[in-house]
Amino acid sequence: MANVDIDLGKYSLGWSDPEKNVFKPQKGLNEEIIRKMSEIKEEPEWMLNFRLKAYKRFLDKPMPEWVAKEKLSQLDFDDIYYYIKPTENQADSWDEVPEEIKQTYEKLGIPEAERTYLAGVTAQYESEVVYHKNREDLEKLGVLFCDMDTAVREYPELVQEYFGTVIPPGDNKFAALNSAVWSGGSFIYVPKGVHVEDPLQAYFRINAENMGQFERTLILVDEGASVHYIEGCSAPVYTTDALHSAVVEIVVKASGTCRYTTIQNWSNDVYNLVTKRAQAYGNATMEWIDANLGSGLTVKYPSVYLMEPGAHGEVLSVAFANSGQHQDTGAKMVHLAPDTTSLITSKSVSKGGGRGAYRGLVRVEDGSETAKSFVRCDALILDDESRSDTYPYMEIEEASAVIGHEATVSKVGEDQLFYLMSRGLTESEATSMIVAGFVEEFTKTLPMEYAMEFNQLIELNMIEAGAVG
Amino acid sequence: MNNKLFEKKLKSLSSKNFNNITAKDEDWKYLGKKIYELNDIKIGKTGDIKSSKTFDIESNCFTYEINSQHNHIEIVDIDEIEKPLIKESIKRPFDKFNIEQFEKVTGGFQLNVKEDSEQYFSVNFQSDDNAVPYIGICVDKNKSGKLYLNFEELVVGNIYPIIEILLDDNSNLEIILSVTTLKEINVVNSLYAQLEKDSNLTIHNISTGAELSRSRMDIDLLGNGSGFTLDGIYFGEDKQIHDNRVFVNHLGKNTSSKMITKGVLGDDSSSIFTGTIHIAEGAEKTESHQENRNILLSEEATAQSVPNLEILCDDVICSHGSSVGPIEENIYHYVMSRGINKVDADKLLIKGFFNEVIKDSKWKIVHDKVSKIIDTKYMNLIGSKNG
Repeated sequence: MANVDIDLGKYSLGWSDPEKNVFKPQKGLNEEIIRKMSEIKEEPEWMLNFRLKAYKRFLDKPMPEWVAKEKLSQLDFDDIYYYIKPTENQADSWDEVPEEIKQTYEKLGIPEAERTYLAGVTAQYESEVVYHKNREDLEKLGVLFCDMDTAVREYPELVQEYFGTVIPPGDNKFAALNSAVWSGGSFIYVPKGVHVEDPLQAYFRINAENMGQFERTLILVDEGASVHYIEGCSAPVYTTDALHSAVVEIVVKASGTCRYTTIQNWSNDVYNLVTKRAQAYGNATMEWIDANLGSGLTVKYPSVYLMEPGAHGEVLSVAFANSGQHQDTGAKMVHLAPDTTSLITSKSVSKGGGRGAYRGLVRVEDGSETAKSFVRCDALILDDESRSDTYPYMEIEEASAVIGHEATVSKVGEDQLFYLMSRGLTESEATSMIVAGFVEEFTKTLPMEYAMEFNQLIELNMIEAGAVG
Repeated sequence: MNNKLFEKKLKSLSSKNFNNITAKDEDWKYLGKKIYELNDIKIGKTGDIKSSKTFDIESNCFTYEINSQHNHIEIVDIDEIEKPLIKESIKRPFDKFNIEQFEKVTGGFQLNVKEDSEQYFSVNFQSDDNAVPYIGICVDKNKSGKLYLNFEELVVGNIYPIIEILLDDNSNLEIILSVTTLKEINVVNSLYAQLEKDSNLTIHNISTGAELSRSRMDIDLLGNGSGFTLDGIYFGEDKQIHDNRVFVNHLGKNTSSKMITKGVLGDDSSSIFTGTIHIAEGAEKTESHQENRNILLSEEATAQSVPNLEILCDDVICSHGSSVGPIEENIYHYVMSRGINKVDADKLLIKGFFNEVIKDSKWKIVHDKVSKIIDTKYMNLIGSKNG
């Protein structure tokens, strides 16, 4: 097999700008850093207490042993910056954004996107949101869309009511860490009956070497409202390990709809350990659409707690594990009420020694009458160095629930390759095409420019590790 | 008791060096409180084992009544086994429970299949106290044998069998493993099999008895072209737990495995199926299919199903499926619209559900027995509901 590292020359999103930061504390974490961070952010007392409590939970919790033990043991919590403040103040308009940060976004295509149809942009550049602007028509509808730090200051009641309720700090070690040191992230509130037509978007990047990124997102969709949020991640390539440990909490009230799309393209040195969870109430729909490319280790299982009758949860997850990468992704559906339904579709591709794993849980609590859930996992292995795992947990305590799980693992069919190659494609072109077809179910759900970027990323991944076969 | 047999194994492994098994362990998950009984295996009074060449082996706590008309199988009492069947150089997953089984073996035998036979060689177990029988099975090159291990009502103490199987090149073994004991006792077995080139192992698993009926099977498909088939049924009532853990390691090339287990659960019963198909690096042209289907008949019944795949090789065909649910409404409607009442419809549909497994010609000798048990169990469920 060809080289392991991503070729920077070819990797269009893999650049990094020289660092220029206003505030930069030392590596490692202690109570003092948390206090200082909270002070700089001018946070209310309750948030500081929340952070300090979470920090204790983080210290108490052991490292999880059931996933990627070896890789996780290499993670050095003392070798990470937990908070870097990028600019003195948040910029009010695009012109005020510092030049090199602007350039970064230029490469990500943000200015154009903003000019065309983006509903609002919250781009996170090293821990704190540097630029954020709402489109005026959203404001008229009463939709709140801002960064989390601003939300804590400006909408304290809403934030305090929901913050940390979907994912309590004690949930797992990394949720506790995020709760202690979170910075940035998005806050969205969609009022009753309001439908946000265009997707809301945010880009995240990690730029400073060894910079941990701990964004915190809270989305509240009120009764009968709907919203689609897209988060795109890309990171420059560094040789030392960076940690991305986000927490995303979503509450979808009765008859509301929320779709959360992630396209993630961390570079190979990033640990991506994310906790995402949503609560869906009566007849509400929650969809996680999640694509994971890149990163050294991704551990992420978006989950939906179906709280009231008629709630529906969906996860569509695509993972591409290239050389040196371990994608441990999946989904969790917890049925807590009658007539709840859920659907999990997982597609994973492993290549060049990469390891793709689906780890999922469908839990149906007693009393969730006629709950229905179906899980479908398909995996494609492109060479004999790679690995594909499937760990589907099904815990059913309700007799009238109907639950199914199907999975297949295979390599690219020789007949498919033969068919395409007989029409003049090279083997690697043919394989790329088959892989693109394999994940099409995901690509279909994306807005067009995302779909194009995603296809490009897949193609890059196919080329980087050398031709197949 | 022949303690020397496992001396080497026990020298390097002692149960004292292992942590207690807990419900947090992946292999013991979902067993709840039951697990506390298994951390310290209590065996019956072990006295001298009276053994004789006719193989009515009897100890203080258990007896094997062996149908010994067959002369194609050599039976060796555990005291006379010269060396362990399984070489310890092979990496096997041991935990405290396994090791304790070896430490506390209360008797047993090894069966060597020397000639082909189409007839089942049956072993009926009897016990009046807790026991840990050792059952070694070795099939010679190019030979095939059939074995019926029967745990029926005569087993009245908890029983923790160790089953070790070694299949030589191009050999065949078919085993019926039947647990239809009384509902108060635990039957917890650990089965380990090593398959050499082109050999085949088939296990028909019947689990309708016992309070906890657990089979843990570790199958190493070492030789190229070796194959493993498991088909099983379980039926739970009262507080029964039916626990099947199947780990198949595809190590050789061109190996195959096929597993199907189906269960019906009523009252407070529960089922656990966890299985892992592991396909090692270089195990090309592997084909593996795994299926687990559950019908829940009562509000309190539960089913846990975790069919795992670990695949480190690209040239494979692999699939698994599992489902949990009630009998489908529209099927009821279809059957009942033809004038059949609810009880008969249930019976018919449950039988139909199991038929995929028990209709197979290989189940012929146990088919009637199993059908009868299924009927009885269903009637018990109806009775307990009405009572």
